[in-house]
Amino acid sequence: MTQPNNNLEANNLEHTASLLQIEEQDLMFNAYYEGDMTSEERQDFENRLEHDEAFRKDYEDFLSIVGGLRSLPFEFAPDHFVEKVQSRIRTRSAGRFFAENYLTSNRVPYEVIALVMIVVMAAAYMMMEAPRDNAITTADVTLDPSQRQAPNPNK
Amino acid sequence: MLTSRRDKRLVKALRARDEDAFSELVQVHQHKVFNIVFRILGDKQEAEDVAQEVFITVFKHIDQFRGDAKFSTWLYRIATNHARNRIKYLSRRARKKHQDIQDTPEGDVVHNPFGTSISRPDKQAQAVELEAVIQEGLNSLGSEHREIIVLRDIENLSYSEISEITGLAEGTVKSRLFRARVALKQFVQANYEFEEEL
Repeated sequence: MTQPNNNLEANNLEHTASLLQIEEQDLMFNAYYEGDMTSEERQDFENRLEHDEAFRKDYEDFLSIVGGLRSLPFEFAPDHFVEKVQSRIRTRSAGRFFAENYLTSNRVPYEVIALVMIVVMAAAYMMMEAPRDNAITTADVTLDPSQRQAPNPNK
Repeated sequence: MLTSRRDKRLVKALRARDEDAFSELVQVHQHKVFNIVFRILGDKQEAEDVAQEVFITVFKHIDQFRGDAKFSTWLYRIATNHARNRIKYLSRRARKKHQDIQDTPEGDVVHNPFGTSISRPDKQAQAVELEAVIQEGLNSLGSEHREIIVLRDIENLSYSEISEITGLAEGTVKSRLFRARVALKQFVQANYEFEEEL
């Protein structure tokens, strides 16, 4: 009754051992590639590369994959990427996200235009002055009409 | 590990919500960010969307950048976080659909358009095929392995930079990179036939 269990355990152990072996082999590839080996370990590794064909083939695969990662083509951002980001920011912030730059802004607020117009008109009015006719005199309505002096046209 | 003079200037202007500075900053970093995000996600449309979100996050949170690390490190951290979150979102959304595709016999054809049975005319075609299998292999890795292998083996960043970006200890970065390479190697060996040298 214990025979199958023993076989199962043996198989499990073998599987674990093979996994460990694979892991150890990959660990060595990684360490060699990263330069994390002592000179002695490196020497052993290179000897094994030279004499163990399967080992060498597996390391070549490893190199092809890491090299393949490094040589993946650089993907550039699509056209008008900057404008798209700006547009997204403007949409989400309802145009209030960026500081207003009055010098470069295309749109001048109508309040500013109205204020400028008022100032210009006031300044023009003050510069021209209202015309005054010195000949016009006014009668004093508090006095009796007989006491009022008639305007002297020669004065 | 200092931020470059140009980045410092741009960051300062960005804090004042200067639109021109923002445009310049996006122009300078857009391709690198897009490439990282694309290699992590493996999909151009998703990558464009995520890359745009990365720069919006940069603009919104620029005041949180203290300048202790390089600006690019901070930027790549945002990029990898966004990419990781997108992977989780997509995998949640598409788990069932993906399972259905894999269960169908045609699934392999969809995932590997260059099936190994097809004859390969030249070295260039082989390189294209290997590239496709590698990208597919990257997509099959978990997000924590994928981002590290992209940062190290594609972007060629140092362990210390990756450690800063991911917030992981260097030892953890190394062990994850190792596991990622092993998993990728197993995937590629199962899906691609390396030519025997004669």
